[in-house]
Amino acid sequence: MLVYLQAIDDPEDRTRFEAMYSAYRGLMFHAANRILQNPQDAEDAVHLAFLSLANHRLPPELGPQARHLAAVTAERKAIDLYRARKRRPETELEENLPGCAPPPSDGTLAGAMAALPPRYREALLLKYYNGYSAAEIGELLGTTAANVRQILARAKRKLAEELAERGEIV
Amino acid sequence: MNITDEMLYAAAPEAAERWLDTLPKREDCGHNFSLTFEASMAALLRRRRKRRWKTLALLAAVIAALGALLASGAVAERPDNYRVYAAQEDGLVSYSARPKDTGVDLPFRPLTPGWIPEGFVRDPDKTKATGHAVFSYHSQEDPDNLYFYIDQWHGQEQNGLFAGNFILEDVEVDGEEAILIYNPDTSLSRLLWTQGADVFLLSAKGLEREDLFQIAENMKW
Repeated sequence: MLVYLQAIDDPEDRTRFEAMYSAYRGLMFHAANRILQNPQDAEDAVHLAFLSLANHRLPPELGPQARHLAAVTAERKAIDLYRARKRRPETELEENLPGCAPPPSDGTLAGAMAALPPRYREALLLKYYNGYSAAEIGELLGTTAANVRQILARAKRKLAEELAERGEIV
Repeated sequence: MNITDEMLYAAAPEAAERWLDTLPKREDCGHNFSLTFEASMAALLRRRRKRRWKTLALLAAVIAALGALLASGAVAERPDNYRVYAAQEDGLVSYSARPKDTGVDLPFRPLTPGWIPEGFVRDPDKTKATGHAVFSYHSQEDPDNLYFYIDQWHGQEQNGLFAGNFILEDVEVDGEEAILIYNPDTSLSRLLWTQGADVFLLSAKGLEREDLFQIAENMKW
């Protein structure tokens, strides 16, 4: 808690947080609502996402990385809420969640990354796009750093398998 | 050939862009957030604006309060048969309410207040999901600081979370278990109770305690 209270006192961080709130709350609502299909639950997910972001190192300025962080955090909270509401046991891949249809993969590495199941995609992009450590990703995804490293390893294996099937990487 | 970190770093921006492209553009992301959301976020943003000495004072107060609660044995496990429940930790209040399982699949019938404080008027209704109704009212004299709204959900457990330094109190509404959650500094308050198969949450700013119960105990078909 002390770390949290110290973090929110940083004026620069506070400005970033408020900028993200103003710029992306609508986007975050849509990212959450396409999974939850319930505006009130989606608002709860957005609120939880901001509570999570409040305790996190934020991108220095608004832009694609901040937009990605905001949307992914809302998506993760929505998935967690969806599972809680449905009392579904946690599944690693979450391939059958509503609203999680991935963009079509075109056989490129970028396409395959974007088309991964949410947990794999989130971990990979938070590391390789947003530049977060395993510990930071763990805080955002609600898991441990060790588990994040496992997820990253599995995600890379899955990417390699999928691209190998297409003959892109052998 | 393995997928190297260099390859992943190079491909990540395009991958992120492709996934973000599945979401609406920023200008198409309009949504009228509920008063509940706005109030919760306002509390979070306000909290972030506090100076360091204030947050350290809050830290000391929270630690002292938790210590006192633990010493008094007031912090307990959530009972299995709870009807309404609320707990506060680290400045976050979580609440849950379970409607009664009446065994009969009654249709949803929204209730409206049969009594409202003098000078209050009702806001236009907002569209809500099936099984959920919300009615909001504000004072004509001071609409920003005197208002309340009532959420009613039918037949399903409700859970929520909001930020702020609140006081929780076990009370009754029409003889049913209820929880009053209020912040004397901001005059924000919430009253949570169940009635049959319905869960009610009365959220208010600037209302007197007596007014909250007067509203809650006079809900009409």
